[in-house]
Amino acid sequence: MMERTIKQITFILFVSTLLGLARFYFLKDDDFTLIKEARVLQKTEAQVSDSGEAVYSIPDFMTEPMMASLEFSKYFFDNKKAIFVDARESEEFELAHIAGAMNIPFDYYDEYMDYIDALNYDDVFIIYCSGGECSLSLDLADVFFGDKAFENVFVFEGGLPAWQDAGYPTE
Amino acid sequence: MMTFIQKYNLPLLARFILGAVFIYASLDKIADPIAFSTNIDNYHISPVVINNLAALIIPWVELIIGLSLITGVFLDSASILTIGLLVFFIFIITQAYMRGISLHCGCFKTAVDPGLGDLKQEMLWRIFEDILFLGLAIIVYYRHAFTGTK
Repeated sequence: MMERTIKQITFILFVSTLLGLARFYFLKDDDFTLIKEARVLQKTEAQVSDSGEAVYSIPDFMTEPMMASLEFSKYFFDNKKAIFVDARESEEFELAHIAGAMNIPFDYYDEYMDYIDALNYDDVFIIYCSGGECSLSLDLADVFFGDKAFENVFVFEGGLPAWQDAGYPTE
Repeated sequence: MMTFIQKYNLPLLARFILGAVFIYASLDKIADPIAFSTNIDNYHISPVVINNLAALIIPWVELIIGLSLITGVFLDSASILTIGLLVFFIFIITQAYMRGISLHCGCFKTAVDPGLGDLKQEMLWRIFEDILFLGLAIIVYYRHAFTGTK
């Protein structure tokens, strides 16, 4: 009885795998591979000025969003050269966010399309969410860079927790 | 209680409810495995390398066990797989909730319902729903004990 059940379960899983592979064959999407590759964004590099201070600049040409470090984010925050975008839900945003950040929750970004379209394409956007486990910032960055063709889009990987741990301004 | 279960043939009712739920849940994921793979990524529980494979295979498992539950073919195996899947779903949504991850579970639709207010509430609702479905799946597996048949 148990042996028969195990055989049937194996059969169901085997047929499901075959059907899944057939679905993959008919999907014909070059970006969708059987073995998914973990995405690694390029990091921003600091240059040292004559006075010995770290200076960050925006690359002339970006092919995808780039990873922003805590130092990079703080540099652009201090120089007021970037717009910080919080990709978390509005309830979380209201509890705490990087000072001056705007909120565009990735899960509802369709509802914010007028808002996004009104933004300046030349501005620098640093998008963040809840840190390491959170992929909302990268997802929203793809919308900004890929769908909306903003030129300077960065993902602050550390997100709000790293910002708060460093004692930087929040609201 | 037993009389109620026997009178209304609760195991049969449970089979049809679960079967319909699993078939419905599979369709959107079969249609869009790419979006479902992103849903799986958001749980941060499995290595990224297997998420596309999981997104391709899991919906078909759901569809086949949904059909099995309704038709009665491979019923024991289908109910064991249903119990296994539901325990797994409850575990992954709960762990995400406990870790403070807000996510759209991708349980029925791969895209977020625009009318939905709060993802955390959705997660709690899905956990509750899956526990109910798990109860139904257990009734299906132990159907002979409930109906007194062999």
